[in-house]
Amino acid sequence: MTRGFLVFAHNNEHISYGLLAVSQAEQIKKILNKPVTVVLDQATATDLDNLRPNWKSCFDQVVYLESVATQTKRYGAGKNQLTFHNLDRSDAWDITPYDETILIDTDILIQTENLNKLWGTSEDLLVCDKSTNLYGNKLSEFTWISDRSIKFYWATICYFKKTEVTELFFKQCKWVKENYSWLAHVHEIPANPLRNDFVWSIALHSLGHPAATIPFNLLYSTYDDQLIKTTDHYVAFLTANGVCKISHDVHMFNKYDLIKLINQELV
Amino acid sequence: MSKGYLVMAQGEKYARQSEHLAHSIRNTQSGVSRLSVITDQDVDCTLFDKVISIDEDLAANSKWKIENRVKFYNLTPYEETVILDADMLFLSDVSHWWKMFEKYDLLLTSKVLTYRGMKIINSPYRKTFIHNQLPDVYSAFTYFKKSKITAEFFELVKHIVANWKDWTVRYSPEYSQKFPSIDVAMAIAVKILDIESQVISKFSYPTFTHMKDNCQGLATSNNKWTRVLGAYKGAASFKIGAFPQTGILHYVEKDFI
Repeated sequence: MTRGFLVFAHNNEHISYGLLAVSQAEQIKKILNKPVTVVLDQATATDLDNLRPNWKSCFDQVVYLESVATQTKRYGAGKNQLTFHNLDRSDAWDITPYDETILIDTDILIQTENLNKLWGTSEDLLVCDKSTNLYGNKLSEFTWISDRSIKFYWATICYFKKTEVTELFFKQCKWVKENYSWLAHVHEIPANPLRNDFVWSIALHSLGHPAATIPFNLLYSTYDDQLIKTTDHYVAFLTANGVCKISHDVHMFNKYDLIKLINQELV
Repeated sequence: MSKGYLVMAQGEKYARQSEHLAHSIRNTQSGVSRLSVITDQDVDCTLFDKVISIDEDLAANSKWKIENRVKFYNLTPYEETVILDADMLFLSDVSHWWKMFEKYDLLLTSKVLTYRGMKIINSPYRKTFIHNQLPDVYSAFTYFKKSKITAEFFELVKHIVANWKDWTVRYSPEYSQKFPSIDVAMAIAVKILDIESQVISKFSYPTFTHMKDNCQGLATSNNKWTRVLGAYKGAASFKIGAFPQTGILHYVEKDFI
């Protein structure tokens, strides 16, 4: 039974998702001791060749997948409208080389061994529905996909085995993607950009929730939380409420800070 | 033991709703499917097991017409009865519930759901119950069998409704309702008789989907759920918004039918 992480990394004008993937793979190796497969495009690989010539050694396998379509989204409080390549995530089932896979976003700062607790579960599919900000507050936008619609699930972290059930789930994600503008109308969500969290949520709902949920909370830092320090024991943010030290895996909305941190470590 | 459902339908609107209710029970229930109606209207007799007339109208001067509901115990033609509200529809088979009901003399609904299947907690309509530590019971689906304790219970409910002000001053002084409410009267009776543990199920049923607008967990209040949520009837399913509905729907809004 093979086990490993799968990450997707496609750079845009400002954010080197390739670099985020390399840094995260190093953390996964160090803390979780598991292999990582990266899915990227040639441009991202070329960029990494310049930034980190030995980047391939961080990964178990490298899968090249050119981004067939792009969309744009705002990063931060409306500051930067950048291209966003996130449309191949539904291919994870076809791509993964592992029997058990944790599909994870590159902007998750791994600090604990929590994710290793998911391996060997009796469930075929584990999805994430529990999340709070750094102060433990839950927002309604991460409870329902819209006020009157269905339950919200994060696509940010997901565990799956290669089974018929999960194949069906990922096929359903592709169907949702193909019919997204209509489904966006039905579920009262924006039609652009396509959001994988919504694709996950709609697919799960339409299949009658063939998944269990990840038993721990996904902590996220917002665009307003400034990353100021990382150590082996915690990561510190400057927030509206002062300095906040976190010893937990954190989903970083503010990719700029993460890139800055990685660049400092490189220096 | 004879078993059946019983509904009160006073006034034209409720009479028509009770007919829809009768259709839905016939179409979905594999077990108990008899429904009798207590009414002051002409109804389609073929839909009902028995049509019982309201002889003495206790609600003649009442806007909400709920005072006659204290007569359920005396008027039921069944030894085991489930009383229902007229503005309900059965959407799937709940016949297996009756097996569990046999263990009880009286069983009140205390868990109701939103259209998204979430348990309703801290409903803004339930301040009287919360602030007066009354059991959070819903009379819209209530089981009882003829017995000494249920006779006593309904007699007490009747007394509370008839002397509403006196009882509410004592048992629900906070957020007190000016007009009689069967839910509150039953809650007070349960509290006085100290039978809460005997009349509330530990299981997830009986339950129903309660479509009171402000209970749905929506960020915006819309006054009527029918203004903002679509209802869709397919060949084999019924949906509100994106959610397939099963069990019993208490649709509340009269324009829904």
